[in-house]
Order: sequence, then structure tokens, then C-alpha cells
Amino acid sequence: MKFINLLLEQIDELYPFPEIAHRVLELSKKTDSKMSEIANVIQYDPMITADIIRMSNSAYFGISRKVETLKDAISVLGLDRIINLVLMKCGSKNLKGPQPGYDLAEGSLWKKSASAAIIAEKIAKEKNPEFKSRVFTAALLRDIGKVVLGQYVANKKEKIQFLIEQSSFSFDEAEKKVFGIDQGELSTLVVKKWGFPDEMVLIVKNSFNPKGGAKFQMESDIVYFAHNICLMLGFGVGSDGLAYRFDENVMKRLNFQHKTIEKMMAEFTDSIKDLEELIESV
Amino acid sequence: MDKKGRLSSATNLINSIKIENQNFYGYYERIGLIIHGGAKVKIVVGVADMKSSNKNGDEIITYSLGSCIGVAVFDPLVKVAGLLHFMLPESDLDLEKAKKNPFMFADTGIPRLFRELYKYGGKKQRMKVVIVGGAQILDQKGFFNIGKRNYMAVKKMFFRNNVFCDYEDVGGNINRTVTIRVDTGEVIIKTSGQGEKII
Repeated sequence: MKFINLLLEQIDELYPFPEIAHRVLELSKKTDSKMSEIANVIQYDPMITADIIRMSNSAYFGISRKVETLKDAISVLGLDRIINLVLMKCGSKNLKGPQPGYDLAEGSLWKKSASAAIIAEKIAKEKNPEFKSRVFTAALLRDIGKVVLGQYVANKKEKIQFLIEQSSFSFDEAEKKVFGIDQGELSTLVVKKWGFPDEMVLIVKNSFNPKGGAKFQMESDIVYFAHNICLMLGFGVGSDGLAYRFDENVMKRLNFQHKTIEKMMAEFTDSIKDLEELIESV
Repeated sequence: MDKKGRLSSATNLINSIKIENQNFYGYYERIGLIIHGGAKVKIVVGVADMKSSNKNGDEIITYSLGSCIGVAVFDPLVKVAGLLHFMLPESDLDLEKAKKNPFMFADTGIPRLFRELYKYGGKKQRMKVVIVGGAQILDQKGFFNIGKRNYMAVKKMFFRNNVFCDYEDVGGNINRTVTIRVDTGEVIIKTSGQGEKII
């Protein structure tokens, strides 16, 4: 069997992205969707409802009174945040485990994915609030390809390391050379297989190698940048290290100076302890 | 120990044996537990954080340094250790944040780290100082290279304040986890996929 077919079979072994997340995302895009409609979809799943209520009481949100019902949670946190919590809950299952191939301990890849999603959403709020939900979801799912490729990376780590050290490859360029496919292409395949709309597939795909003039360029640029911030912070960094390409053109397109990056890192780290507690509780 | 109170060559020899022979190192660890008569306490330093201890057997650790820098400091005479994990070079980025959390920046975090050790009777002149981290993403240049700028900020602070660095493991595109042992002042640098070294 060709290696690529083997990988495609591995995608089927991932936990499927729950239907509830797709329905919530679909409803959130419709301008005429009522809050009660989304609440009904969430309430249909009592496990997720209970988790959302529990997460709403996290110190990260700083709510003084106790949230006891979903209605409460929506009115206090707002619909956007509740949707994000649903997505985090649904996305965490595949990303939370250890990834020994990349030398990542349990929770490490998840911390990076969730942090990148939160950073991406913050950037979108400033750049174009309409992109908030898209970039949050794309940033959350961007590293899913690592879950599929991880077990094979371990066996080829010397070869990959050689390509990085001797031929100046980036980690994903070395993956492509060794396996014929890289983590970004695999993430794109997973997102497509999970039935996300074409725009989401394209954002995830281009967030690994953002190109000027591409469709949904700003969204891809934001997701790319958010993941780079996490790399700098050392989140979800394993045997791949920081061996990925930094594209200054993305900074120019987003009109970001170096101070912007530093401010974002400082802003994000400000509430890191509460945020870590929230991420771990998902 | 030498005049500065640094570790003797015998200790250095033991350290080199430990690097070469992990089994011996494991044995030493177990003996260490007996000598200190109790379980070791692992103190975790988060991002933009600092911890210190003078309790025999304690270990201070910070995980996964990307472009951030870990500064590990140890006074062998009074046996006190500190570890700072700072994130950015200069506090003028946001003075309010620096006031709230000085450990976020090199220029406010480093003085606080040393002052913390002075409280235990530590003296700058005899301190073992190790800096670790400051990695960069490929093609990250100029002002965007925060890892390099963090490193420059530490060097500047050390130069101005006559602090001599005993060992540095900085740059590249690898992430590093660093531990300092309070009883010996040993600094353990673990790099993903490349094992660990003891300084």
C-alpha cells in the first residue's frame, strides 16, 4: 500500500469532529440566527452543555457570580465565546494526547492549538471582526496533521534532522522530502474530510505558506501569525523546534511592526495562568 | 571551590561523568534522595515568572523556552538558586505591565532575580550564572528576531552590572527546558531530541 493511502486511513482513525460543532458554526454564520436556536443545538448534547457551564466559571473569564445554566453562560459570556468553547471542547479530543513522534508531552499540542485560536481571534477583532469565528476554528485545527504524521516522524527523525542541519530545510520541508507529504497538507486533508466548508480548508492550507493575493488571505495570515507567536512562546514545540519559516511579508500585509508582536505576546501572557487553567479544563 | 566560590574541578569531573553515563547519573539521583532524607520538590517557573529556593533537594525548572530566555543563578556558599523565565527584552514596551509583572522583561526581571538571591545572603561576585534559550524561527531577522534581541538585552544588563556568565546555550531553532538544583547548583539543559547536558 502506498504510504499516502496509509496516512489517509489514519485520518479515519481520528475522533470525528462532532456534528454539533458544524451545526453551531453554520448557525453562527447566519445573521438572522437567534441566540435561542444556538442554545437549543448545544443543549441537545448534555455532556457538552455541562462542560460549557463548567468552563464558563473558569477564572479566565473573571465572572463574579456562579454560572449555573447554559442561558446564564450565554448571557454573561456572549454567544461568540460560547461558540468558541463548543469548538474547543470538540477539537480537544484529538489534540490533547501526547505526540511522541514530535516529542510532545500530553496536553502540549492542545495548549498550542487553543492558544493560537485565542490569539487569532484577538487579532481578527482588530483587523476585521467578521473573521473572528473563521480564524478561531482554523487556528484550532491547523496542527491536526501532526496527530496523523507523528508516529512516522519518530522513525525518520535522524533523516529529518539531517535535512534541517545540512541542507537548511525547514521541518515541514523535510517532512515533504521524506514522506512525500507534510503536516500542513495532512491538516488540510483532515479538515476537508471532516466536512468543513471550502473556505476553511483553504484558510488552513494557506496558513502554512501564506501567499499574497490568495483567497481568504487575511484569515490565513492571521492564523499563520498566531501560530508563530506560540512557537516563540515555546508552546507545543517539540523535536521540530522552531524550524519553520518566518515570512516577513505576512507582517507587512497585516501592517504589524515588531512592537506589535511583542505587545501581543505581553497581552497574551498577562492572563496566562487563568488561560492555562481554562485550556487544561477543556 | 575557587575564590569566587565556584564549583571545584572534582565536582566538574563528576558532572562530566554524569553526562557520559546516564546510569551513573540515575544512581547518583537515588543516593541523593537518601542523603537529603526526603523527596525532591520541583518548583515550576512559568512564562514571565521567577522562582528561588534555598531548600536542599529542591529543583527549579522551566519548560520549553522558545525565544524566551531562562537565567539560572546559584550562590554556592549560601546555597541559594533562582531561575527567571523572561519573554521580551525591554520594559518600555509597556511600563504598566512591567510594574505588574517585572519578570516579563529582561531589564526589569534580571535585577529582581539577583535581588531575590541577595535576600538569602547571595553575593553577585560568587554566583554561577547560566543563560539558556533565545531561539528563533527560520528567516526571523532584524527587529522581528525576538530571541536574538532577548539575548542582546541580557548581555547588555550583565555588562552594565559586571555580571559574568559562566555558560550560555542560546540561539538556534531548538527549544530547551532548564532545571537548576539547589543543593549543587547544577544546571540541566534538556533539548528535545538531543538529550541533556549538565553544567
